[in-house]
Amino acid sequence: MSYSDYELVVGLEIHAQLTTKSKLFSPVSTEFEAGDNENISEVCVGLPGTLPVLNKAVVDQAVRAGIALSCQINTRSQFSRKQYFYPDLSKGYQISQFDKPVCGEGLVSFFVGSELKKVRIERAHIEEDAGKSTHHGTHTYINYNRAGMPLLEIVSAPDIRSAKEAAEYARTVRNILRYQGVCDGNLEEGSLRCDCNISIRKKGDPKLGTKVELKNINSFRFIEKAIDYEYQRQIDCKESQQTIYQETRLYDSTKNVTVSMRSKEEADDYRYFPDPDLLDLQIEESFIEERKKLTFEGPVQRQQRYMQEYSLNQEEAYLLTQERDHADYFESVVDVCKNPKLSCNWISGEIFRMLNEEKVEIAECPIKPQSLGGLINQISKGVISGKIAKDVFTKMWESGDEAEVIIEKQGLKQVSDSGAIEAWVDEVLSKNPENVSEYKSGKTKIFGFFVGQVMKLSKGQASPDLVNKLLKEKLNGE
Amino acid sequence: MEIYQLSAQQILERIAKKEVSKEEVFDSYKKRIEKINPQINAFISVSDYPQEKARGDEGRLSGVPIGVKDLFCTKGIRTTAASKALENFVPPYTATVVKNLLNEGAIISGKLNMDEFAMGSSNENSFFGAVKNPADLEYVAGGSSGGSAAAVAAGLCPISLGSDTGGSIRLPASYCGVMGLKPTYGRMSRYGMISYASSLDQAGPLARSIEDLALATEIMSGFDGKDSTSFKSEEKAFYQKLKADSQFKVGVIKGLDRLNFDPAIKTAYEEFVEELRAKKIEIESIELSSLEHTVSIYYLIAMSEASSNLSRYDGVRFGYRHDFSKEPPGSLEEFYSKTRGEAFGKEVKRRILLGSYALSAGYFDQFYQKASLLRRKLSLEIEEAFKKVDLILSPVSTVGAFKIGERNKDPLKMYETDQLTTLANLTGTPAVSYPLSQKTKLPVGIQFIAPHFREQSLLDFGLYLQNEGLIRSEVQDVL
Amino acid sequence: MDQKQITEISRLARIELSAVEKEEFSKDLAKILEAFNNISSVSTEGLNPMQNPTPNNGHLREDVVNADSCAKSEELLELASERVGHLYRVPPVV
Repeated sequence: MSYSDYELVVGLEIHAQLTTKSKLFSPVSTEFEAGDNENISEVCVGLPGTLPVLNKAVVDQAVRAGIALSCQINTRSQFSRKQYFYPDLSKGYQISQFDKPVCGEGLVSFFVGSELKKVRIERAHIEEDAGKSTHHGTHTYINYNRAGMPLLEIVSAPDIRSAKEAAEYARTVRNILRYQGVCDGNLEEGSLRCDCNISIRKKGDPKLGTKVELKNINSFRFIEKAIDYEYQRQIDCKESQQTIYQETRLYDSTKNVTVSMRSKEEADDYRYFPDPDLLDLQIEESFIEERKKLTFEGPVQRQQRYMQEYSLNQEEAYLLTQERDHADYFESVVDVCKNPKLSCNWISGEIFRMLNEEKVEIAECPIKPQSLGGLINQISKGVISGKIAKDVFTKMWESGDEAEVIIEKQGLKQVSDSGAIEAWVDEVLSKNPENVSEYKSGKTKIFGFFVGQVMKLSKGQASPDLVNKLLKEKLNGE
Repeated sequence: MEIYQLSAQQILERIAKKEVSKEEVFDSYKKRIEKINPQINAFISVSDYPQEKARGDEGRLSGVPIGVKDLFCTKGIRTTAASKALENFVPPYTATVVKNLLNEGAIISGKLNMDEFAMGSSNENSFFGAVKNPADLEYVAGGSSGGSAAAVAAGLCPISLGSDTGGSIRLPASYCGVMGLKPTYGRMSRYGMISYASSLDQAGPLARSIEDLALATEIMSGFDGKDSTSFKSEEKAFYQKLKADSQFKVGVIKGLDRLNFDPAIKTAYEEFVEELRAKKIEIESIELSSLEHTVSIYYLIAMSEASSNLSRYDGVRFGYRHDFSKEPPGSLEEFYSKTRGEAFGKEVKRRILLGSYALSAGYFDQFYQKASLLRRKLSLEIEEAFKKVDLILSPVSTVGAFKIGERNKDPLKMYETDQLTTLANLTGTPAVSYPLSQKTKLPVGIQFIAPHFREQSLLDFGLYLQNEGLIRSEVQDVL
Repeated sequence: MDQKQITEISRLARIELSAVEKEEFSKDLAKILEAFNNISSVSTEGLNPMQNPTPNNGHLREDVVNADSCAKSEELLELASERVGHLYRVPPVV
């Protein structure tokens, strides 16, 4: 047997924190920057007699996320209690959704290389986050700021077949949620967390193998590495006749290994049952229809649309659609200049470079789409050359002025007057007789030298097309 | 008449006429509590007359002392749920129903004894000791709101707050001879009322007159944004609209004989039905085939919910924690188990264990789910019955008050006493217990159940019965 | 219900029981469960489970932060049997 005889089977559970102002069941701030236990209430810490009241905005965001993930939205869903004891779980149970989630089956498509991959979503449900325990030697300390934060858990079908696909799926889901504005997707702050269910099976075997769960991996790169490691580990287990246990493992990114967290010798009995403090969540069809209208086109749809409508290649379209703000910016530029290819080049080139250098978001970009469109128009109309345009761009970034104004003020307009250009051409030819004879003797490669000299003389403003034309006429014609 | 014998309405009148001050009213009750409470053990804590700041000097209950079951959180006042788990718990918030009363000027006279976490039918399960029946100190007061019923019966307060999950207001009201009302589920906010079984719990008042009962019901009711299950309703002017009314068709349950009745209770009930007939009240038989299963349905659901609701008592954020200073716990499991094993009394443990079992893998369908299905069946039967009648009449329990220690050795025998009261909790319908004016050894009550939202019918008919002398509640002197 | 089951359930519920309690509860619980099981023979075909008796829909909350309607962090922390600064403290949990 060899590695290639085994197939990797992966399903992802993504916990996305929704972007509401207040917690899931209590009017307490969800602000990340807060002192220890600053954002808690009697509901968050589960004091006697306190009750949960569902936040409307959570339902709204969950529905919008569901629509964006092509999920069936259930008009009736239910909150259940998942029961276990752990100090950071304040009530001894987590309020979650069990057999009646708000979002049913859905589908996520994305590109892996040039292949369009589809992964089914099994469900997406609303649940509350737990607090955070930190262990220091002789004691454990608990902060409940995170207790009751609204999460949407998105559970994929076991449709993923490689570590790369898993990472790309996670990236896509993150982008989809960010597009809808329902999750900021910040892995470091924990507003997006990923659990991977991993198993292997012999190729062609319809039965799934024993599933190992990898918990809370906090970067897409680590998802890929952790799954790769786990895939090999499981194959090694199989090949050396060892048992693969159903267990939870943690990925140690410094050593690039996974380690067993707790074995499930005694299977957890969560005793799920409907939470009697909350009534069924009923969502009107009309509400769902309304939300559908408010749902933004997703990143992959846009990517595909740009490839078809604008003839961009896959890579170009991918870069532009990673963030909704970027894609929106691109579309606004195209609206002005009607030149998708040039718009794409300028955005993924100059704009992204500057945003990166200056560490600003596109919303704060000093060059608004209207202005960039204006600059591209100047290029297309032949008012300035691409080279001059770069200088104009820099000046636009610094001053915030329109391209036209800068061109006008600084006299950067391309010279298309053949009389003026002819004079420059003549000057260059007369000053360089040796080169002219060389050229005429057959060394036509030095043509570029003449072009360079003419452009230099014109301070870059001569129309390169005209310069070429006139030079050829003069050098060849005589 | 002494102040302690007065109803809230009479107290308000005397205060209005300046015959007595609010402070004098409070003091006279306090003296009465000091004298009587040691004998009946109705209060867990007794309050002082509040500072001006903490007092509502205006309102429809201004100056009326009320006793509050120790299940309701009261800001700054220890709230124990009669459990060691909360022996020293002082909540930083007040239950909405208590707030509603305070906003109308009521004054908290103290926190009332109860069965631990409201789990019990005799009030023998309190960490602070059993409540005794003011009519005969050898007898139980009934539970779980035993302190609430005994305090009103003994004239320690004119109105008290109780809670009713499976009969916890009506049963002690019946045993102690006072009036008690459990409203429609969702009528009164559960916020700040310590949960026993969330889908069954409702707060409610106890009093010695229909007028007081109606006024307290009206004031306690109302939508609360802090309780998802509370509802908005226009029809809640119970006191303002109160009028004696006999125009109700009363349903009696067919084949009640199949239940295991205490003969004296059966006789009292049958006599009452005859009295109604004599008053030309229309009476009709109704079917309720699920009746014999209410105890099983109720306890399976209540224990399941309770096992979950009581998971929060772990000694981490509040409440009792085992002293680990000498020997730290060997494991996280031990940390929890030691604390919880010591914090809860026997009945509470029994119900948590049974509830955990009923929800556990492999038993969920057989117990919890089956009970939830039968709850639906019962609800449909009740709905059907209310197509024929306006009110359903029954005894409150198959037994009357019993001697302390007589039933608590056998939990099933204790659970049986809730057979008739649980009907209203399972179906969410409003119900009352009214004390019969017949001469019986100890007080005996009668239960009426109305359709959802129809508390007014219960009160209007109650006023009629009170005017006609068919029901009566008097202060027990306590010898 | 035997001793083994009672041990399992008390572990699940995190309630330590003495040997005497185990003995007593195992008898009690068995008897009670047997009695409750009388419902198993009743047909419930075509019925939906009833989780809540209210005929109303639950209400939802607007997404607002309202610190005034809640107890303060300090008031809550005061209730803990053990705390360090603004953190709750428990024996080591690993």
